[in-house]
Amino acid sequence: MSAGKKAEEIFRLPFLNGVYVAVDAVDGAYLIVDGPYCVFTKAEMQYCHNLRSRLLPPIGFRRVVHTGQLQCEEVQSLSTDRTALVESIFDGVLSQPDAEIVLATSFDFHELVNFPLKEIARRRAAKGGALVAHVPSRSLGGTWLDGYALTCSALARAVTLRPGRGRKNTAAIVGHLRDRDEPDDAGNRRELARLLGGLGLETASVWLSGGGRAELEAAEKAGLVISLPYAREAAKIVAERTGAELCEVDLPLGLSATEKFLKTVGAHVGRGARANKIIDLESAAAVRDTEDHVLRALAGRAAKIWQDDPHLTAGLRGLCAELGLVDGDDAGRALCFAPTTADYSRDFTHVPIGYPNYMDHPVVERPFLGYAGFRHLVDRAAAAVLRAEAEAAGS
Amino acid sequence: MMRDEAPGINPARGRDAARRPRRRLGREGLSYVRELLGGPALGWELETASLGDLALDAALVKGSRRLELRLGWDGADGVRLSTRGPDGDRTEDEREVMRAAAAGTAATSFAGLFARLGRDSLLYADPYGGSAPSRFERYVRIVDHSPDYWKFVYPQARFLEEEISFGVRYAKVSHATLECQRNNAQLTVESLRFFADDSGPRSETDGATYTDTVITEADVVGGRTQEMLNAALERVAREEKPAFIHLKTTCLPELVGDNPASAIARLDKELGVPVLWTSKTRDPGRMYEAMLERLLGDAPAAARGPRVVLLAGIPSPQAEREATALLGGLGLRVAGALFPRLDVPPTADLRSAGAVVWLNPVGWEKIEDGAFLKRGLAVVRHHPPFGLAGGRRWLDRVASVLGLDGVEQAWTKALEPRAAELEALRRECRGRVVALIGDQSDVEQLTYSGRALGFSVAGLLGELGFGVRCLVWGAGAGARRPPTASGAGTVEFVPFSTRAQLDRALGRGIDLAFTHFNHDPRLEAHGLPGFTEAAFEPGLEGLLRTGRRLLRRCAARPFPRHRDGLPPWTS
Repeated sequence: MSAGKKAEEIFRLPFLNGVYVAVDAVDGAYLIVDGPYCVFTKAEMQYCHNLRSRLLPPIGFRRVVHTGQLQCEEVQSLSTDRTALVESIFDGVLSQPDAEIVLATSFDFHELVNFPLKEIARRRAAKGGALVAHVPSRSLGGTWLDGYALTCSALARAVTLRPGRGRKNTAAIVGHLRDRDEPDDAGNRRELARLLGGLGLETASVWLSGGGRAELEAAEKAGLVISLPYAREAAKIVAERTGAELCEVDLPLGLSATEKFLKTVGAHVGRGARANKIIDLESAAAVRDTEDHVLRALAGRAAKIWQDDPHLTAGLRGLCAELGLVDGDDAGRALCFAPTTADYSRDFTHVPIGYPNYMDHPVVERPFLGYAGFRHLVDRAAAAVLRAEAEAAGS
Repeated sequence: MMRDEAPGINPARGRDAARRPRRRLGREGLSYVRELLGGPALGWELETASLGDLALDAALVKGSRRLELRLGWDGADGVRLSTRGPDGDRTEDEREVMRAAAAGTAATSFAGLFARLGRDSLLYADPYGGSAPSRFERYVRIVDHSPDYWKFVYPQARFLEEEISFGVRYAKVSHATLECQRNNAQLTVESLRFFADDSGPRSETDGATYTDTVITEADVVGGRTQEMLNAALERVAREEKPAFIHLKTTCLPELVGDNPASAIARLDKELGVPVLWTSKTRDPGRMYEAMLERLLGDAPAAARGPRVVLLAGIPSPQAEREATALLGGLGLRVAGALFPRLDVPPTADLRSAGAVVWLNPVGWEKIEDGAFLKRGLAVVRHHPPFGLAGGRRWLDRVASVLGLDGVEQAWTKALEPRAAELEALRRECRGRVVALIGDQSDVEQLTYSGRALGFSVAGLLGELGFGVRCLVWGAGAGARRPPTASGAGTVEFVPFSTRAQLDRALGRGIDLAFTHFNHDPRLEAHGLPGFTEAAFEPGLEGLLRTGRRLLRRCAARPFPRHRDGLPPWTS
């Protein structure tokens, strides 16, 4: 950690990073960014985080396209009329056979120059074919979570969602952070669907999930929109457009948060007793499965949570309390729940979690949400502690 | 020479014409041209001089005036002197300077002039080859690479600030938006990077402090960005008291007109903290040269030892050790090393050196040698010493420019103890086939000596005994050539024109292929490992390490019995 800086500053990521995560989470999506070549290099964070990222194929058409043609943008290039150039870039992207959705936004100083990107996107959208939507840029002040949420909102306004088609006992999850096409995310989605299934709800659509336009538009089949924290506005838009009910829940990370998730949804659909029954069974089982690890390896240790994600931070705080992990510097080498960016530190026992995560790319499903996620997080934290202790002893 | 072994391959010239000038004058050449131009007369000074294909271009300056001269071939064996602009526009003393220059060059043989200037000329890029389009031009700027299914070669021109190491006593200040700061992967995990040679800067920056201004929309609209920049510089200089500050300004603040020049001058004057300012819109080479000026100081030429040299362009500590030993064989002592390091340790006796020898100048073209030449240092800037032939040529050049004997003895002394190991390595390499793939231009870059990389990849593979198979896109059936001897190995040419043909070729007996992609789907479909020019090291020890490294990669093909399960790239 750099001296004198708060973790939130160190790990803080800007707007476009979140837009990239969202675009990578929608099959057939392309992104046009009005900006310089750094738009390309920026996508490498997602490329390193997601081993199956589709943003930058070595051969083929790039999913993230920039408008700048110079190594540095100069006043002259920005003050000339670039409409024809940008329209030709839209043409190129829209001519891709797999382009189902084309999003457009701006890179920092391009946000200031009032270029009619939204108007160009609107004109292209009116032509039909691939869905075209403008994501209002917050590149000069927004966070990556704003980028993700605003992209979801743009999609929620743009996709076809017909009212009155929602079915009872069918839910759409809107606001899931699908950060990569790897088994941790697949496990999270499976666990969310399993928890809802336990309440008698079938999951018709997950925003975002890696699916394409059809997956997004399947949200119209849901009579209930489960709003997760990464795209609250999008969830409201989907519910309003489809006429579905809206149920806002927090991230089910850790035992208590998972219980709260089940209770909230259960109460909303009138199945509170069923939720309580699931909780009684599953919470007890999760404690039984993890008690040795928690009591022998984890309880009493110090833990740090460094995230640029308040929802994940809240979930991890709850988890730490459940595991007996304390926030203090006098409990030995601290466990550190953090992403793996430039300030990744060897001074802590690192459990990589959050965005970006370069160090941990599971081959098998390894969720961190719900009861399954609780078991995996205990497993990973205990393994990290024991490895660190062995290494310290060896040295 | 690989050139003779590449039938049907023609140099690609035109839109990617090399940066010019590629060759500039060394110390002796500059001295000779000054003499030839009569001094120059009347207080004029020779500012620059460079060698083109058939002309010497020079600029004379006096105050704010500049006179550009060209000494070209007159069609016989004489020199034709010309200048830019109409004669009638010249002042009297400009005409006098021209008369003196004409008198000096009147009896000069053109061939003799070029031979003399070539003796210690400085090579900034190969004068015989096209400069490869950079990765930025050829990959980053292009959106659709579908038609480039055959392309594997995307050489990178790095930013200098990624390369130079300033040591621990400096502070970095970045004047940028958060969006701009987070425009790359941030943490280098080699295996994950998009390009195979993006494993991180050659420089080491651990220990430097870092300050960023994080410009927001409100700052821009409120007109506060210049104030933020000045405040950041002031705080760092006063509180951290670094040896110097490296300030990086980026697109947005430069677009809104922020200029740190007055703050830089004040910090230097009041606090004695120099600021090295690199920017998106300025030539960074000049900034680093200014740092170099400070390092070198003003030692008079007499205090410099003729047998003491500085080594520049150091790719690794091992290469530095070996080059130091080789130069020692010529009776030279290395007093210090520059580039990528600019934090010269106190023991390095920079001011005693009489010459600068570039070990590997490739990638350092933006750093010119004016600071050395101005102090009377001789400079050797030539092809780097990769491989046997390249190493010998480098040593020859050092001896020739510095007027030394004993090359044969020094080279034999270096070669003999390694000869047996090299032969054993060659026996292993002979069983392996390495593919170089691309269009004619790319294959040229990899086969001809001295192009963009400073060495021939095919030539070095041949020296090591590998079989080199060049898969040439769009070359036509006539370009096919069976394996012929190249060094201790072989080289062959196989044309292809479709994805299917390339895929089949990759599946036929190839062990390793050159690609700048870290994870190349075309190679991974066959479980083939890739490599780049980064696998090669200069020097004889470097050649042995290179050979062992490439052999290890050849042996590292996964799923030996299950490659059918790997996903195809052609569909």
